Amino acid sequence: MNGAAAPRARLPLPALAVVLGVAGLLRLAGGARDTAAGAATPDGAAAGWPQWSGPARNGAASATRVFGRGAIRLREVWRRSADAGVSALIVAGGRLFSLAAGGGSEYAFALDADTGRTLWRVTLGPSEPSLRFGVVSTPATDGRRLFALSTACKLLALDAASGELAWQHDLRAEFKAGPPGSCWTSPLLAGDLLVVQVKSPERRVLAFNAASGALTWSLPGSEGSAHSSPSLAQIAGVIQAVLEDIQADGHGGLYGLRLADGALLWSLPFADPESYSFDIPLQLPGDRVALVTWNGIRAVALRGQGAGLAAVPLWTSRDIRAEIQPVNLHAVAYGGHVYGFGGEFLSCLDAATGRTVWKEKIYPGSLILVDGQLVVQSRGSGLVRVVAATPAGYQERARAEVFTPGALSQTPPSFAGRRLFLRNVDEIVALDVGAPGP
Amino acid sequence: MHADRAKRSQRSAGRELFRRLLPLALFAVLSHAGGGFAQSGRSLEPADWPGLWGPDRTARVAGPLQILPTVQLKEVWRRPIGKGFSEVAVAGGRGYTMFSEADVDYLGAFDVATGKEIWRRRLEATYHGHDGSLDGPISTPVLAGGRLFALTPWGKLFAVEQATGREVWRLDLKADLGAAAPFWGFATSPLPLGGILVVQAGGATSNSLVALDPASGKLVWSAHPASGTGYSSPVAMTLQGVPQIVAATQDKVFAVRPVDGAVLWSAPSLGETRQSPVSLPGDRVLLTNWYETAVLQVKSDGGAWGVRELWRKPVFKTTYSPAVYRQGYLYGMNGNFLTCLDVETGETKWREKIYNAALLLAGGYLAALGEQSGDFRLVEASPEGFRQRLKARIFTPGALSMTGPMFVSGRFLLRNGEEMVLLELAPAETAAGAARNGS
Repeated sequence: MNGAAAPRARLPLPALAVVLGVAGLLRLAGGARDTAAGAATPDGAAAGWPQWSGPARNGAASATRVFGRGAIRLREVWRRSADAGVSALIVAGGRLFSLAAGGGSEYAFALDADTGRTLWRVTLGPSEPSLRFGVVSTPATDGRRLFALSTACKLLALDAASGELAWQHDLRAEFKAGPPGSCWTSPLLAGDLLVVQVKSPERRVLAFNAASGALTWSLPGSEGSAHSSPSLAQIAGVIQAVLEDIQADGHGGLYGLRLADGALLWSLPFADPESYSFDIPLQLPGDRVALVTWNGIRAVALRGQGAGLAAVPLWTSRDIRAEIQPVNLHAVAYGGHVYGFGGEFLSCLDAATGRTVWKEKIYPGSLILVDGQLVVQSRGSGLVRVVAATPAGYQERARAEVFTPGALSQTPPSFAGRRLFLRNVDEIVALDVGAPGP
Repeated sequence: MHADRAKRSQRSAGRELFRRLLPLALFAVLSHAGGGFAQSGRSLEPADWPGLWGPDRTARVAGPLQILPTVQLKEVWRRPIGKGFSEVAVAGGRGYTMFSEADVDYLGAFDVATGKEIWRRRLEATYHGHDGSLDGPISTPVLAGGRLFALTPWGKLFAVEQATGREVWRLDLKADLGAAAPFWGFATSPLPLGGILVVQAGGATSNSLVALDPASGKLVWSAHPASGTGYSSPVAMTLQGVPQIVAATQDKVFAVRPVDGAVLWSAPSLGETRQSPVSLPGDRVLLTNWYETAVLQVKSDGGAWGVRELWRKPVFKTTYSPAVYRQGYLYGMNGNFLTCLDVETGETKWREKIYNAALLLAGGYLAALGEQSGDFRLVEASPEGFRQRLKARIFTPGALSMTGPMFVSGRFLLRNGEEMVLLELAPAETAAGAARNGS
């Protein structure tokens, strides 16, 4: 961090509402029994895949009892063509949303999640010609509205049913965010707050009231990352946004902001180069967080309470690290272990020590966690795999060749309502997940 | 979004993805005629492959073509190899390349007929991929006068004996020549030419391009018409009847005289690229990078050199191998599309989605190795349209293949970061039973 956070001038939201809403999200870690706990109570958007990295921003679906002990069937429900974009597919209330670039423009679109039929599309602005993979940012939804960030840094709130514009901000004009083409970050929707990370000479983080679009709080400062995305965690009892830092010397770091008012709670600059990436920070059990960087995964522990909260480096491992992908999910945490990609290997690390338990060469990809299983989308082979999230060893439980080998898929899977939604450079596919039928 | 595509039939889960060698409907016997399109006039033994992108660094080899009725693709041998993107230099039945194993970068020699390793020499610790790049050597070693010259990603240039791998001399491009380390590591391949070894050192304030004495490593001449190294390699070409060395950096494309490094001409480049300038007939030079393609016309009028851009288009978003020229047309990858352009206008003749691949023109065929699919294809190099004559899965899908196909004694030599394979096109009756199935 460059200097301490300025004191917040106001606390414009009823803090309790924020805390309650977000606590609900955090509980919905579902299969991830590390967080909070309790039976998931799927309702509305949270039951689906409402934003980048899923309902709790930890790569885990909230659903339980998806997979039995027996064979797993992956059955294609629909398939359709898609314009360029690596933005993840988000699903709520029977609708699937994402961003794409085609015909010279960048747009948000909504599909019927049951059929793949287009419901609406809304142009965000001209597309960025230098961006070979189209659009990167993943929108967020509460089921009523869709919040989309264009690569030119325009933030739009659209009606989820019609695509009608509710409010918008030009983050470049208003907050000097940019440059154009650089806004790859995926907004965090937590309760009534929409938290957006920006690279600007003035601000690092902007938090808007999701309903009105009014700026609720912001974190001043320069540098920052326009590519990584804020995650959400409850650490030492405080709900906070955990973000990647990029220091002036190019080294990475992590910091935590109190979600209610944006107060800087802790920060930890990393000492070595290449210690950043485009990844979202990963929550680990026991007041710990990790960041998958270009040179490895780095776990830190948060010690102390309140204003005395301090981050301590815990372990690092090169067996999980970010690779060529523009933005991706490289790791998830489950049952005291971290599963993730390091180059061509999928690895299982002990979350307490960082020790490698096993690694398997399955070539680069992205992954999410669904009901105790890893759902892995290969980057180049066209395969989607279901792999048991267990330290006992690599166990592939199902696989399907969903896309043409050689066609890049740089979008992690999404899971909603017993369905996997997958995207590559050409297509979007919906797969039903279940036991083999007759 | 386009209109919904008809739902495809469900592909079976658990479908085998291991490499398969397909029976072929047609067979092209490619016999190496040597010399390539040697505008530089250098000759080539049929069994040689002088490293990066073939005889003229244009990814082209000549060869008459015979079409037989039925054939198969025969795998002569397959062996594991460490990580890296270096191509293989072949001479006298031996192949030389770099690879990384257990965090050490090696230069190694192997027997091309069998794939068996002959020697390996430790170079230095592996340059680890960072910011999205991958581990391993990038540059391709070159051969001259019984010696082998290899540049590591750290910028150490090794000269070793071809027969044994014994070190003769070494040079540190950073310490000895003031080179600025490229962000992703040194990737350029040296160019042996006559009695000199030309290296795009990329010195910050001098030594952009240098000529070394292959015997001693001592500096013969130095040119500095441009700053910034980029990742491309110098190329020998003859323009307006004058032999010259052409190189592209982040800011300039320029030509120097081989004899003393005197700058003949210079023009703005397309920016950072791994691509080298490609010589085209009619004293033209093709430039490509990740975003666009340009064709330059080079003229010499009484000793005064001039460069004019004929066209520039946002096509051929090439990655790791050059676009290739044949009979008035250019063939290259434009993102996921194999694309044929009219060299005069830059107009697209046809395009076909085969996903990113590295290309080599062998005879009248484009050999394409898929970057992610592991598929090897032979496609007719014709402006009439996309005609694929062969497709076979050689490497595991998902494993990255960024090294272009190589052509040795009428056979295709392929490598990625884990395997090396020698492929032969043979009549079906002799190939039957020899073709390898499964993993």
